[in-house]
Amino acid sequence: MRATKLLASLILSLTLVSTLAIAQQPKTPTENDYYRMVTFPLPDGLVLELSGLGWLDKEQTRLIACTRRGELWLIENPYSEQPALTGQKINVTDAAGKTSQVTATEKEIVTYKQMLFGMHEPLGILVNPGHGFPNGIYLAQRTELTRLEDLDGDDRIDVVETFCNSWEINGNYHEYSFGPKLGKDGNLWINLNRPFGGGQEAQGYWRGWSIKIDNKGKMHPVCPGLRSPAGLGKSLDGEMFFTDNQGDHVASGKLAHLKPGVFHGQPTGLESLDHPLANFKLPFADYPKRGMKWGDAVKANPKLMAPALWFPYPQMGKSQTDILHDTTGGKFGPFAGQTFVGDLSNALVMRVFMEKVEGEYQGACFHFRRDFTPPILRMAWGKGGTMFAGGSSRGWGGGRAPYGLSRITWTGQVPFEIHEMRARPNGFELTFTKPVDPATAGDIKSYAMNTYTHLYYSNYGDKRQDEHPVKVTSATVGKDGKSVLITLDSMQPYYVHGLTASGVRSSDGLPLLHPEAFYTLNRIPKK
Amino acid sequence: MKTLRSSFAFVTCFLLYSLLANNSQAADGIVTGYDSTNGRALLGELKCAACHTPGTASALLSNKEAPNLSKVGTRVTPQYLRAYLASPHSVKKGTPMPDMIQHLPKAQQASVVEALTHYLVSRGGPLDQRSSGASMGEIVRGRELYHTIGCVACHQPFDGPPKHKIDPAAAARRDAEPANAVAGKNDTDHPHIPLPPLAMKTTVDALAEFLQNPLAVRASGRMPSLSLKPSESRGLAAYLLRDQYTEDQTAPASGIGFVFYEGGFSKVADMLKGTPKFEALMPDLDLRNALAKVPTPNKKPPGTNFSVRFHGLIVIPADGEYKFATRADDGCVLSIDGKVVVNNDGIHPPQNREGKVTLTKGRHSLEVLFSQSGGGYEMFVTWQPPGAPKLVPIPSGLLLNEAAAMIPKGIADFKLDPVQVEQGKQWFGKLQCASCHQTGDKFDPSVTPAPALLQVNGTREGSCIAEKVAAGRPHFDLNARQRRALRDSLAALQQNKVPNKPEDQIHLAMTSMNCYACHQRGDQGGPSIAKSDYFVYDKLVDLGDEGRLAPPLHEVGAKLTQKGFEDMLLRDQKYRTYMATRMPKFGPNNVLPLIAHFEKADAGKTPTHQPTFSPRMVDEGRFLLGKTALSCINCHTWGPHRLPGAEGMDLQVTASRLQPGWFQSWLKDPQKMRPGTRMPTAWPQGKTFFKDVAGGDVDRQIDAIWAFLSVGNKGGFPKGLAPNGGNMLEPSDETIVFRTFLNQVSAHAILVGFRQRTHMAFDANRIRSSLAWTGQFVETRHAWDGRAGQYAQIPSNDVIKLPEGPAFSQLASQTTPWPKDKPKERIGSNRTPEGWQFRGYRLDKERNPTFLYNIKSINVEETPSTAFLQETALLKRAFSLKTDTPVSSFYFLAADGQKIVEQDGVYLVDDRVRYKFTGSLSGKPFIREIEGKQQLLLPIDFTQKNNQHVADFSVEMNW
Repeated sequence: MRATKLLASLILSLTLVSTLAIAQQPKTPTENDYYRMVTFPLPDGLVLELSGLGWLDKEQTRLIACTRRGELWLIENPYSEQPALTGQKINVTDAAGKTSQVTATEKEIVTYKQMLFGMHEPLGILVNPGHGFPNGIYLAQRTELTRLEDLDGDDRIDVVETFCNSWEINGNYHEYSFGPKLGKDGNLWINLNRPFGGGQEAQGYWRGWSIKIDNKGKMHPVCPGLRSPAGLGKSLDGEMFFTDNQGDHVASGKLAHLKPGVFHGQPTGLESLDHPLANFKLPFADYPKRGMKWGDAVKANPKLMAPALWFPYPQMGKSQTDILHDTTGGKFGPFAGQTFVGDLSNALVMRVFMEKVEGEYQGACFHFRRDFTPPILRMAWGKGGTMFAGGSSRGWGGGRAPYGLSRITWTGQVPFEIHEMRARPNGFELTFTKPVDPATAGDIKSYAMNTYTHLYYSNYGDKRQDEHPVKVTSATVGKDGKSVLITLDSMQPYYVHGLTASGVRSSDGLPLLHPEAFYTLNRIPKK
Repeated sequence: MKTLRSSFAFVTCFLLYSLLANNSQAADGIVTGYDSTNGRALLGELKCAACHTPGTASALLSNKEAPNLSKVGTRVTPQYLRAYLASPHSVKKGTPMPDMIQHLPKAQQASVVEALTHYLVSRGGPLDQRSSGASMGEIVRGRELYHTIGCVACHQPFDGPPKHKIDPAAAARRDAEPANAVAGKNDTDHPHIPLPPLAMKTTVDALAEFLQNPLAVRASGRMPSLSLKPSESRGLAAYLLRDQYTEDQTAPASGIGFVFYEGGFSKVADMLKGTPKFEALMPDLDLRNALAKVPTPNKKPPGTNFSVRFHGLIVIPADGEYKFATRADDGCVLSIDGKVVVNNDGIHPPQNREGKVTLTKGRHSLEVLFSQSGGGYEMFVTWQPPGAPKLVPIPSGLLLNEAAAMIPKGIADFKLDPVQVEQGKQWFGKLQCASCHQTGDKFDPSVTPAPALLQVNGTREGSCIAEKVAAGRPHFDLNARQRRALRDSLAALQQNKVPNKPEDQIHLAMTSMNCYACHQRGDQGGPSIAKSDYFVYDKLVDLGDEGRLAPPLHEVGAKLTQKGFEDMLLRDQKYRTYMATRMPKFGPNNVLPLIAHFEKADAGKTPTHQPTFSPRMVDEGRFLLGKTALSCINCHTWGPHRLPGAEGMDLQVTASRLQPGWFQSWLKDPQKMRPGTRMPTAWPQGKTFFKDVAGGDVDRQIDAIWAFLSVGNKGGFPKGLAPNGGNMLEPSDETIVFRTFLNQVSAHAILVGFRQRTHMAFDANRIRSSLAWTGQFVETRHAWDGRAGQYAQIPSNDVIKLPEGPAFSQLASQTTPWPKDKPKERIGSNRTPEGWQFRGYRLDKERNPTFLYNIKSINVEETPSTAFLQETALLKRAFSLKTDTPVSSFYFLAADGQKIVEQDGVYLVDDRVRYKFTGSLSGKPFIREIEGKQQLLLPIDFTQKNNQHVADFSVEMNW
């Protein structure tokens, strides 16, 4: 199914040879010119079904990864220029540009050490969260939040402490626990996947919820309505968001705000509202069974939370995963403050820009980096704005390899991208990462826009409803030379607005690296 | 196709060679085995006792059976029978069958032969001579088998040994030191056991059936079974009948052609532009099975970017409309007779497509193309014949490949004539054929009475063993040496001078069954230099000649146990997995008596030894075999587990196969026992490098190794050997703690696997130890395959369930009922007792867990452990309780059951598990009967220690 992808990666790997050569040619730049990717080699027998990433040390030199098989691995030398195993050959290029193969030295060799075995499908790691939590490695197993400790410093775990096991589990394959992630409130947040098959009703409490755990190990439910919320993370304003996977009641992959006391649409978790720990009630006991446009559904059910963002299926991924806020302060390129979202099936990382409009978050997603070798389930920042990303797609498929770990670093070159896309009363304001060519950027023919919405109902996924083009009526280049205001002949709330800006060129003549942007316009700003 | 063509040219070359070679077969009269001039063996081989009543001599002769002819018509052609009966010794030089018609007038000979032929053909025949076929691939496979698995130890080679299986280093060594490697005999000393002109005699199908079970026809093991798979029998038969091969591709053979291509294609037909990377015959259209056969660098089936083509014939059972269907991800196209029937082409997720076609009864060509580009893949082909209720896989028997017809030489029309059959039957009796052969008919046993064996005058003129045989007597093709040997043996028999010690019996058996063709015993036997080249590795391993030659049997009676013998002689158990040559199976009746002879003859050849045993020695042995001591596992395998490159004999079978005395001698000085062996001594000059193990004493260390080996896998893995492969989690050096969904326990199960193969499971939901079991630990499939998240089953029948309800409780009185487990309201109910809290576990250096939990104010630590016990299993649970505030009336529920009996502080529960309490117990355990059950309770009396109230105790469960 992915013959073309293989070809693309072949071309990518060829371009790895020398960026210098590319710069001299008037060739269209590729993602690799800006974000260089390296995939880690794995020793025979190591099935690195990566499901969580973290750092053992404050200096971020000793990478740890948990796996779906329940192991915890210590990966040493993660910044190796060409990660290699002992005895492997690496390529070296001499001054004359000639490449030859030599045996990897300590500088390149990456080692793996098993710190622990036997955890129950952990899906996230957090090390030393502070905020009154005892130090240790926290990971969410299917059944509990666990704190791990290596008492004697031999890089093997000696204490496996049950920190919180207040949620219930039926023993269904779909009952994953995603997390933990540290919220700005100083609690550890976890998303609890709901069971699948054998009826929609939750048989254990708190399935389909996002919950948080305080430093005493006490659980506090946040909100229900989650389906398969594989991604969890802080984003704009330090608020906690989650991604959900397309399926019943979830029209398409989405990013939504974990606001306490709201309902995200998947009804499994509603059963837990009768539990004494549920400190709020929702004003409805049921949910719409018949298809209803999301705009209408949220009007009918004020506690129903519309996603901040729909990810168009399938071009923006098919199963969104981790959420990683860009806190690198520019070391990873021009996207500081924005958010990256992984995807398992398409093995890619997307970029998300969000803004707050009338008190709620909404925004746009863009392609960022595609063609990872492993599927992307988890991402983490390393030193100097290095991004580590990897995962496992066992059972679902995705990625050229079924599991593994990659690393991407910014080359220092700024790609020509739509940096931000803000909603305006009559259209959108686009800012670009580089000055634009006023002629093409000011030409309405450079832009095409198309809009659609989704139904809220119990069906498994939803096709695009009411999809139609929208006319771009004007395009005005801003005084800064880096922004453009486009106006539209119509705008509909709760509709996804898909923009293709293929005609826009930068002042140095480059097309956009990724000309598409998809803005979920829940609210149209008045000003 | 390309590969087949080129191999055809190659085969043609050696067919020519074989024709020439056939003519050069040594002419040595009767060929019976290792020593064709052994008179005593000859008396048995020629079945002299069939006519001459042997009387007391019977026990001294081998009892050779002539081929059973009850079904000879199903396997032998009339043209062969006719030729062979007319002149057995010229058609099959060396046959022990006598010519019985020489004395008849020439004209009569022909009519007698014709009548006998009709009679024998009537035994199940005539054989359909036109129905067999084989592909060149089968012939090539058969050629390799014939020259590697041991056929040429007895029979004539037609080709050199397969070069790719010869270790050049071993060949060079052999040239340098032939005396050590082989017996150093010339080929001419031992003529090949003759093969008849097979191309005339039989068909591929019939010969393959014979080879599957030769003992059915030749009960005394003259032709032993080589434990052939059906495909191997076919290959060998096709090779032996290679003269029948023509290029006429009309006859089908079972198995459908399979071709593997690299690359995925959006149009499957594009694969055909590429070069095939692998071709083979497959039994059916199962894609996963077929892919598993494709050799890949990492030995894993290919996952992405490949294409396959199945091609061959489908046998349509009846006229009618047939529905075919494919489910495929990605593209798949099924064609019949060159027309597309099911088009499922393109790149797509799994999708079903079907098509219908009207077909006539008989064979039709079938082609299935499949291509995989990326992501998941699958391909299922089904059909629905007319009248069938649903789509099902196409049965493998209906899938054939295009192969060449193979028709016996000299084929002519033959019609059974009942008159001739009846006449033939008369002659069969009259010529005394029935004295040796069975045909299913009854014959008068005393047609022409012959003198009893002990009265025969071997020197009389005209006798059957005289130079000139009188008319009417059986005519054997004996040479002068054989006649002399027969006379001498006969005389010795008559004078009661035949030596008959166990060694003589062994020599007789090894001669007549030709064991000497492979094995040496004393100064007899072993392959000739020329033939030793055909003893090759199955895979290239660095084991020298020991890796390819059959082991010598000098002291085998002191070496093997009864089981070791039986495994070799009767079962398809292969210990020397690296040897291509197979140990033939001669049938229990023919070989079982040998075991006792060997045991008697070899008694005392190595000192007998009764090893000492203690549980502690098991662990010492485990250490000694391991990576950090003698490193036996560097060369030897351990069941299915091995270090990279280890190919030596499996250590797990040592104690069941070998006698401990032999083992001790072997370990002490391998060179003395087998000069040139790769097996090193671990105690040079009788000294150990491991002075602190088993007191540094060599004999004790060998006993420790034996102790470890004798407990099977209950002693764990040799130290430093990590389990590999398979779905089973195997605890080795360290204990395995594994959390998963576990049947009979809960979604919160924590399994603890010990290398001593007693395991337990703790339920973190109910907070108590729940199960203990022995044997295998747990499979990973339910947790690691696909989406997984399934409940695991315990892979053992020996499971102990610990009592229901919390393990500890306060009781108002000793008659208060024990509290029950918190009920399960929903599947996922929290069942933790009120006020209890599970806190996790600690791991020690060897990863042994201590479970931590709170019962209200009491801190509990529970440490499960086990130890090696020879006959039984042990689970010990050590408890350490601490509390700041004293707790009274507190009890521990150790066990419950229908019947608990105490004896000397040991509590036997339900006649199965013995419980014993240890530790600082102030309370005394007691048995009580409550609610129709017996319970074993221990009162917990806390003692004060540093402002805390503590209780430490253990309960041992032994079963």
